[in-house]
Amino acid sequence: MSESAIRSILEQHGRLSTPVAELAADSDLYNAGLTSLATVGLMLALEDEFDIEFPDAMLGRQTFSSIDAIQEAVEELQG
Amino acid sequence: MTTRVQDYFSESARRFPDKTAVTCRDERISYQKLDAFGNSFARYLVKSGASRGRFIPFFMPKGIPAIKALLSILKAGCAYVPIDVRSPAARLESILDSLQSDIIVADAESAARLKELLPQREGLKIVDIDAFDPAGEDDGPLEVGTLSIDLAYVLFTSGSTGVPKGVMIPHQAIIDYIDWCVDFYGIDERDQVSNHAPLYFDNSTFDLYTAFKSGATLHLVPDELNSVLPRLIRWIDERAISVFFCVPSVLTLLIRSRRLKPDHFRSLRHLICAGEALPPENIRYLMQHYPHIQYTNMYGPTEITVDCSYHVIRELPDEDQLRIPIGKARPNMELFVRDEAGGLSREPGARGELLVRGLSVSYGYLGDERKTRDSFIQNPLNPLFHDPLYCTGDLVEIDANGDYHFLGRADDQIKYLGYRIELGEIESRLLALEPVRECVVVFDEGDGDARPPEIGALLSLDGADIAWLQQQMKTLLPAYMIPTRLREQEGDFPRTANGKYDRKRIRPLVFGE
Repeated sequence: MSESAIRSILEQHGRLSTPVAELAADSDLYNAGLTSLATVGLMLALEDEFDIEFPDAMLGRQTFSSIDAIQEAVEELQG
Repeated sequence: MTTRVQDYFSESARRFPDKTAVTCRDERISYQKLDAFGNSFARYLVKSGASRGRFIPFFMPKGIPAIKALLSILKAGCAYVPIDVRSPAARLESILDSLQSDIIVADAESAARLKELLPQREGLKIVDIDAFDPAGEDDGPLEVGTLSIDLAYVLFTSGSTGVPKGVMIPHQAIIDYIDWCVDFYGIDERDQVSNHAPLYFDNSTFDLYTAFKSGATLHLVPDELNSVLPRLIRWIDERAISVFFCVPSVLTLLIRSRRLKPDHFRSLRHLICAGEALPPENIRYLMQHYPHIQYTNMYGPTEITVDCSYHVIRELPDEDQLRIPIGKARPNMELFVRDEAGGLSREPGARGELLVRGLSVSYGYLGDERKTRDSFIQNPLNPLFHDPLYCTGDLVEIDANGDYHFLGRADDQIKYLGYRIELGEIESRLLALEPVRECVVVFDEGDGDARPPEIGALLSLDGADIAWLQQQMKTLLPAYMIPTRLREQEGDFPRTANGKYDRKRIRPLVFGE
């Protein structure tokens, strides 16, 4: 699972006010303009792309707070 | 007879002293404890300079302390003004200026943020509610002499000149609305009422006061729960919520999340939507899966106190149905359609701007006589006495059943994520920046799931780039007002024959065809 796949999903569904290319892997996505509306779209796109399902316990701000955090969550769910 | 909204609360505290009044996260507080705290803190506010009739803002995230602040401000004989803690400094300054307020209530964390945001502001007294010790104050009721015609709250909405407009709402307007809501929805002390909307958004008025009037428990949805919305589904069931009021985009997200199961929402009796157009396909889905719930579409701008019309959805919407009606006027409110010739009508087939009359119509915009005069006009049908009509700026049509349908905005004010935004406000904020030579902000309503709504801007910049502008916007505008699609224009902007920006031609330049 690559960081670039996450970046491309963010590009499509994140609706950020900062270009994804300018974000570091640990940049705060909420600071970059991630809204609750966009978070749901992002979550669904990640579930489709990586064939996973985020359990309720992982549906927190933390999970989607940076590219690193997303990568970690996806890897954990993929086992 | 209740004449002031804080009396709803005191009366329920007398009837149900030990009942939980408010919950948030793992915290809860009883009616009696919250009422006593309110009395003590109100006395402290009076000692700190809060005299009757003043406007007292509170600046803190949603939580029990925010409810304590709001109630105490009312008990002190003042009107409360909720302010979003994410407000940038410029917006905060302009709100404080128009309130002419030198007292603001905050919790410890927000008080620190305030000092950071407004380091230069002299004479502003920040009252830290966390530092207040109620043991030192009398907690019996105070008599401050507030009348039903005095203001209960002022809510700031977006204004086209860049200055937010303060909508003034008196006690009697809320009481007229809430007494009907509690009766119509049959809300009583057994209900569990949720509060999803932020307190600075007037939909929250419904949640707070239907609960406080009836002695029900109010459950606050904290901000962190909102950041990933599907968590709300479990929360609604865990709290056994029976009345849930939200903007339609919340429903859209819950449905899209693929996490709704048939055994959810067992306790829910009422699902009420207002704040933006309600997509019929969402209601179709929900009615098919949760037939035990009553679904109601309500309508109303902040200026008429939450809602002036309602439509109970009794029949499953057709698959090709375009709209859910906003229905008919609630009791003690009257709706008119103003056609292009200026005539007022309530007849089926009429189409034009919606005008509203009734006790719940606001007094207008704080300290802004001109804007008030523009939007609150004398009823031409009653020229001999003071009879204001609020001009909503919304286009409606009356169908054969006499139901009103919302068609869109008459001007360039938009609805985005439930917020009402004047595109002109964003433009004037951006144009105030030195390197921004020209700027037109446009809105793309999107196309349901495939393409969500988005704000964009066409720009001409001199000596700065888009990245610089993106940094600047974060300090100038709340997140929901920041354009996310920015395009630079070389050469002239498209204009109409009479020299105005041609937004129809600008939109595809920003969003593509």
